[in-house]
Amino acid sequence: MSEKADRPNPASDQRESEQERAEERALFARYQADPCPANEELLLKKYQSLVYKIVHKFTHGSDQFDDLVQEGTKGLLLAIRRFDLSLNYRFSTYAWQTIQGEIQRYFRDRTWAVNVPRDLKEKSLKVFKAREELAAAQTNEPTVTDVAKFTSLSEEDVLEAMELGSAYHPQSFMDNARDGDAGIMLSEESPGAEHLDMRTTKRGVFWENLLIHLTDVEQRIIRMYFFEQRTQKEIATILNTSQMNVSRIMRNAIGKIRRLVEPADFENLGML
Amino acid sequence: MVKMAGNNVELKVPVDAAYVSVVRLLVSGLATRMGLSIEDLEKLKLVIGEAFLSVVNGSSRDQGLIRLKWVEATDSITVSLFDAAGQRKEVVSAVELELLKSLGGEYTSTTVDGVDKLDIGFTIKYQEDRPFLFHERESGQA
Repeated sequence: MSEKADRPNPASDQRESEQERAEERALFARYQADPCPANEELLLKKYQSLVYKIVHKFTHGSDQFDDLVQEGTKGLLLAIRRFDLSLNYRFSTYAWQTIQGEIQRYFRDRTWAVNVPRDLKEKSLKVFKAREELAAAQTNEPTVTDVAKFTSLSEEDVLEAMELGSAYHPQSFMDNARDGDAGIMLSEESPGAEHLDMRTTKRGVFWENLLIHLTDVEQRIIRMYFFEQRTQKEIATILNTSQMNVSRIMRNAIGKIRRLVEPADFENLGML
Repeated sequence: MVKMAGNNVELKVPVDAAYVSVVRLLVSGLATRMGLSIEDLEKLKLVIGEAFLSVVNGSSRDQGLIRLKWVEATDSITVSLFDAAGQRKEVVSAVELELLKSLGGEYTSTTVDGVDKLDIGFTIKYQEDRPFLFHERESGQA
């Protein structure tokens, strides 16, 4: 191996980075001008490695790997379709949030942190689905009695199943990802350093206008979670409360934000 | 030990965070009896569970019992948590209270005859005869 190859060359690295960026912009410009399946496929292949990087951080066991890749790829596809060249971000920075979001949803909906007997797990999922179906079908929020009738379970069974719901990852599912992935985050363009600066970016200004509608506590939590990239567990420690409480406040705050913005705008936030 | 007295229920549990699940199950059972929606029931479970944990964390001794009193009326629910071992003027700190308030409910934290007491009040309203927890901030009035 030559001496030249062994030495880092900052000027060369910078040129490569600029070249990559230009290629990326060209690819997306072409895709946005002609969003045909072939162009989409090209982008999917190019950025598939990003999905593996993120999945690697979330993998709890080998049996989840394929599912997580599938969910992450869905996130990647969404990111490709929503990417806005005018914001001048690197695609990888933007896609990171979307891929991570899909994986989080997977954990939230389908995985359990503690070993729960299969019949109880099935009962809990049945109750969870019934709640969603009833909520969609009727104007009123469902009650335990409604769910019991719908599922042919007793009210006690429904209550037990609902309580089991808290066996879904009792701690923040972000813990594994955020505690150890500083290296990867920084190898991309760090969101904390530039892209999530609330005063100087388009998205930041948009967020600032939304946050004024929230209570002080809600604002603090949203800022810490989305802009300082802290986990729910870290926030809970800072605020001297439980992760469950933080999660609930965050859910309420996001609900308020959802009501304040148009669906299309909400999608464009790309973070929730 | 659960004691029924009309629409009032009392529960005494050790000063131990592990009993939060017992508190949550009791609350969900009582809320179901009232006909509250699951959304409201989940909120009650969370609020009262969190309040219970705050009282446990603020308790000066880990022995003794925390008393939970549920008082149900047609237009309100009041849940009181009593900690005889508590030695603070207020059961929970201002920051904790602020966090709890963001979840809903009206809070009063006092010490009466040496017993720390936290009252949490909820207003009940009705829509098509179905009760729901009324929260002013969430109702868009603030």
